Amino acid sequence: MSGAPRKEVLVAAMQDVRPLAGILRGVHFSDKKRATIAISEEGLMVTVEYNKLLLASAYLFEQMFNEYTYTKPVLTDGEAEEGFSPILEINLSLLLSALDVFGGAGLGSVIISDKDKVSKGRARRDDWDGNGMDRVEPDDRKKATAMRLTWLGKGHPLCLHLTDAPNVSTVCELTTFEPDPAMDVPFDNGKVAARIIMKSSWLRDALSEIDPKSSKLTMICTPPQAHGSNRGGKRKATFKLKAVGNLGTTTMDYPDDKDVLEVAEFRSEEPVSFTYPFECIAKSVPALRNSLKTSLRIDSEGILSLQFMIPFRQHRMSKDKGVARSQNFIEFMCASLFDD
Amino acid sequence: MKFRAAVTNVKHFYQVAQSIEKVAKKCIIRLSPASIEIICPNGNEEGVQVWSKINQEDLFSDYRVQSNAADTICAEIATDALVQVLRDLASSGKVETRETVMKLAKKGTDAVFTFETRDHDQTWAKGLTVSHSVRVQMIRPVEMEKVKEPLCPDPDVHIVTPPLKEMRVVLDRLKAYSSKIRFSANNSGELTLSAETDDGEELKTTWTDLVHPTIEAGEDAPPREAPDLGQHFGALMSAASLLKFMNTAVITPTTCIACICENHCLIMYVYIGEVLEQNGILTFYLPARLTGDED
Repeated sequence: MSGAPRKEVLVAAMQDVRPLAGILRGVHFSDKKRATIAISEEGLMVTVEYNKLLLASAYLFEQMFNEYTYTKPVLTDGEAEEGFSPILEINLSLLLSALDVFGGAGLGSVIISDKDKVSKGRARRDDWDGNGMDRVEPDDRKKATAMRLTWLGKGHPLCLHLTDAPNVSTVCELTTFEPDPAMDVPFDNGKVAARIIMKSSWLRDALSEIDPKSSKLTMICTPPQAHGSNRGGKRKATFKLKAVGNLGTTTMDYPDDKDVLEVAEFRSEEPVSFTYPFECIAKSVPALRNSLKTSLRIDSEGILSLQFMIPFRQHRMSKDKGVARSQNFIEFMCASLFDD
Repeated sequence: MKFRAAVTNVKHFYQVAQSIEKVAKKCIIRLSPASIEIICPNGNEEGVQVWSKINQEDLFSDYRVQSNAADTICAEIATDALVQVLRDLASSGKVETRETVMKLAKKGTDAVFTFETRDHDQTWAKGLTVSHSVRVQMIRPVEMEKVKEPLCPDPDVHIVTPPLKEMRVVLDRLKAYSSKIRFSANNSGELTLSAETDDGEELKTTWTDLVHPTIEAGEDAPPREAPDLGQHFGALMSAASLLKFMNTAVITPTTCIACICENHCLIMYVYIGEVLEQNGILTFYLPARLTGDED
């Protein structure tokens, strides 16, 4: 791109695409292929919607890239709008296919040896494997695919340059579309009724136990004060999942133990209970697999925010001297179903 | 009409049969004093044809073939049956002590190829013989004359491809963009696979520093103008036919040479073993797809 007449709005490069592909897979739902990418100085935000029910965003902070340069585009009227950041829409499936063009993003269909699966300490119940995080150790079988992503600005394609060996390279041009108006999920940060932080594996294991055909999942958060110790019997669980499926009802109780629920905060002493479409929550399994911790928040209107923290190896220091970011996250937002 | 030979290289025979099975349900085996040819002349739904020629010494010893038609025998065989038999042979007994004989025989009114395996190692079932028969359809010389290798123009480029497994991975991802893949190469070591969606998204992978084999021009070949070495010659291929072809990566070790006849076809020569060993070659003809707006 040297000698290009205009400066790129975005240049982002990394030596191994696996962490990026791993996160993007967390927001890749087959039914909706398009995703929006918002570009800012802090990084990229990749957002997809699912059936007008779920809004999922992956936050990719600039520190995860080996190189990241954002140049604010000059607006046509010459005035730089406050807080303006370009948003473009692309086909996410094609982006993921491009990242895996040499089989270096672990999207599957490239053989992962059985030996590898078994030798990993944790037992794996399914095939979501192959993200950048679980395999911190260098993978001998597959060379890293390096990526350089550039965008000249509105009306231009998103360009990727990928390589995994000196004598082979891939160029990808993704058409950029005008984004549709984004779905609005009005989560009220000022009225968080319940907030829970736990290890992602706790939630992931629970979700994998639930009958995939279940239509609804109820989340019940009970403040310790509401337990009512007068009964003297069993204390109610602080956090409880209840799914109704064809084969019956599954419930999962999370005790109020700091080892399980690192944080459990409530706005009042009233229990919080809302029901969500199970298919939306189930979509979080790939994101959960990639993440260490999950922050779950429900506001007083029942809107759910799930944030999956995904650590990355920091390649560069922050430009501003602020807090150094060392984890990306994926956020799922979903409104509750009306009670029957 | 007589045929009898000891199969010495079951592994290669099995690999060749596996490659062919991926392309066609039936193939013709032509046994002649010098070579065994395995031919899929009718092509599959993608029009891929295979013409392979293997020196008989590479697969057999004590090779004897006799017929009234220049000591040549032609028979049609179901590829999956052949693969099954060879898979069994490859796994019975030990390579060092095993002896397999392939011969043409009669079973009732049917012609069959029989494969008999014995292991001389006393510990292996004490000389047990395993025998397989595969029914074949004999092809008369007159009919065989009609089976002709496709005529192609002189290729514009000959190039040694990257490993087929490597190209296969790329091809799998290109398929997400389009069912039609552009296969092109120039005369200075570059080979490109690319695909484009209807929305204009494009994925394009280029290998460089590849080797060009030296090709001896035919005697009557008109002198060609010195080509522009950087110019790419390409053909639009169906992803399915390329993928079928890439499955021949089962042959190891292998070298593959791609010949591109621009906008006409792709000819792939897959060498069995090292090129210099001259064991034999599988030749795949892959017809190019035409589109209305092509060039």
